[in-house]
Amino acid sequence: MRPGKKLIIGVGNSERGDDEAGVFVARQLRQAGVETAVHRGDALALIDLWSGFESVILIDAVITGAPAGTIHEWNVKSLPPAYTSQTSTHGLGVADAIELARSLGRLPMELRVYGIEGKSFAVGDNISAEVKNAAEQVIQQIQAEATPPEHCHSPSENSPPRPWLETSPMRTRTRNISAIRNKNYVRR
Amino acid sequence: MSGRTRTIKVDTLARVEGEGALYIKLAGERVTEVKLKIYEPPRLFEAFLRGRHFSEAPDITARICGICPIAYQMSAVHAIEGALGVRINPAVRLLRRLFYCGEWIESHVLHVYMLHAPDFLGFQDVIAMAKDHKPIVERALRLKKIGNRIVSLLGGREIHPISAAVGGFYRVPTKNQLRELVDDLEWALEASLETVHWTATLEFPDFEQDYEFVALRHPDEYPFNEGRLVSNRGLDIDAAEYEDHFVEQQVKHSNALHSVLRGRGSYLVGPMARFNMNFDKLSEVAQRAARQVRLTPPVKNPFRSITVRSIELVFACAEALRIIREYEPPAAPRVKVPNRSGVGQAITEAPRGSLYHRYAIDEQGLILTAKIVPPTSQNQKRIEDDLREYAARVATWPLDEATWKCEQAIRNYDPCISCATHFLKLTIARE
Repeated sequence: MRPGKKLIIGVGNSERGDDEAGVFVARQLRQAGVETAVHRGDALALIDLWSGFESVILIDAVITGAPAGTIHEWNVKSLPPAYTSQTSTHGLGVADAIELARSLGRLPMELRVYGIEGKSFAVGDNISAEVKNAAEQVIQQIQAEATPPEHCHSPSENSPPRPWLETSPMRTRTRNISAIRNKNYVRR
Repeated sequence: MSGRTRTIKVDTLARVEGEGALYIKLAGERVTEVKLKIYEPPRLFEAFLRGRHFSEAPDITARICGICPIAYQMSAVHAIEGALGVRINPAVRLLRRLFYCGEWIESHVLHVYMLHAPDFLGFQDVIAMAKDHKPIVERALRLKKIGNRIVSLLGGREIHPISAAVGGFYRVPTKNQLRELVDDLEWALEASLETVHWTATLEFPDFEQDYEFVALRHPDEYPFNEGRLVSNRGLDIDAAEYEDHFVEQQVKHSNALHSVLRGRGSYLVGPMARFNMNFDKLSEVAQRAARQVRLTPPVKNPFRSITVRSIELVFACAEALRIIREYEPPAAPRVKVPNRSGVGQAITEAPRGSLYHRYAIDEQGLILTAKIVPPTSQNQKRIEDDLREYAARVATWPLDEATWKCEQAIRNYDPCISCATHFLKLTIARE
């Protein structure tokens, strides 16, 4: 255990259009000196990846039916288990990995998931403007949280800026994380 | 119950790329209809391959499955090497076996622990199971990771590996790189033995069927990439004769073709067939484990396939260790393969059964035709046959229990319904 250690995990495939969202965020933050990991492939490996970190932020593209670029934010630690059935005979995805880690007592102290709503996941596509814009907002948010404010006046002023709050009415904080499952992001 | 029609839908999260469904119709205790409906996209790959250079085939076919890409790569490279008269280096042959060990470990661990065991223990899924069986699920995660490591090292990455090539590999590991796997594999071997003993304690329904078991058989080894295709009813053929004996039939209720043995009907491929046809070729440690749990051929109860898979897991770990001890890197990672015309067939043993490929190639090395018969397509009719028998036995049970049991009977086969979509919608109608 590395106490207090924070890790940013970007999940996705940069060759599949908006699925690049998480990878984009992780790469940009890495350039800014933040400890990041890019993950694709076996989602169960996430459990080992975040092992030893106290605070983890995971960014992935999602499909929930919201407009492209909508930013969803879930604090998975405080949510109840989202599943009633395991239907896939093969694919275990990010949400499964989170739930399995919860069952095993292997969730980090804090695990936050940013789901960025994508619209196109075609092979070879570029990330869409809406998703790129949303990814940049997520980067700003994560950076703002990581930088302690110079003058602490009151708790409200202490909050980091959340520029999308006004512009993105679909943004939700406590959606059921099973929504992540709707996207077939494990490319088989 | 007669005169009453009831329908159960196990309706869950739909994925986007097609679906599989099961439909069983019961009149009292009599099964009047069984349909395993599969919408399987991989067939299109045969068309994608036409006009592509043979060197692209391993990378294209790897995309058919995220769980068993190596099987697709291996059947592809062996069929093409056969077509072009290529002889591979013995060290490459060993590495291909090691590559397959990694895939079997990954795939068998996933199925045994995460997909099949919850059925036996009465859990909805592995997530629920993990709460009560934490050390067992932890063991599974660690085992699976070791399979992933082998595949990553040889294939370049763990899913859709990219290093397999016609003629060899694009890159081969050093002796030291392989030696780094030894500690993990020694642990994995012990963990696999525990897996055998653990699965043997599960409760199995008393259900045996008279199967025709079809698997590769090789004179010196438990089969991965080579051998003749044999059965317990006298089949003994070379891959080149496959299409003389097996036919693919279209059925109205499934987009996937049903494969049958000409004049004989359904047959079974996969771990149980391999085990029954090749028990004597299993490594000593795997044979001993099987005897300890009193599981020796012929195994005819498909529910026991979970233990057979575990025995194959022991074999895969032991075989990987053997190969790593013997390994000397080849002089070159691959032999040069010239463009020339030819036709070649190959069968290799995917985790869930024999996988047949045939390629016709023109003088520029471009693929004229490709044919791929995946194991689940071959087992499809056999699954329906099992269900016809098994559903009758559970016909009087409460519908939800009967439904679960029928799903479990399908999972005995570790079916790879399609490689992106594994959503099974189950309907039982009672008259």
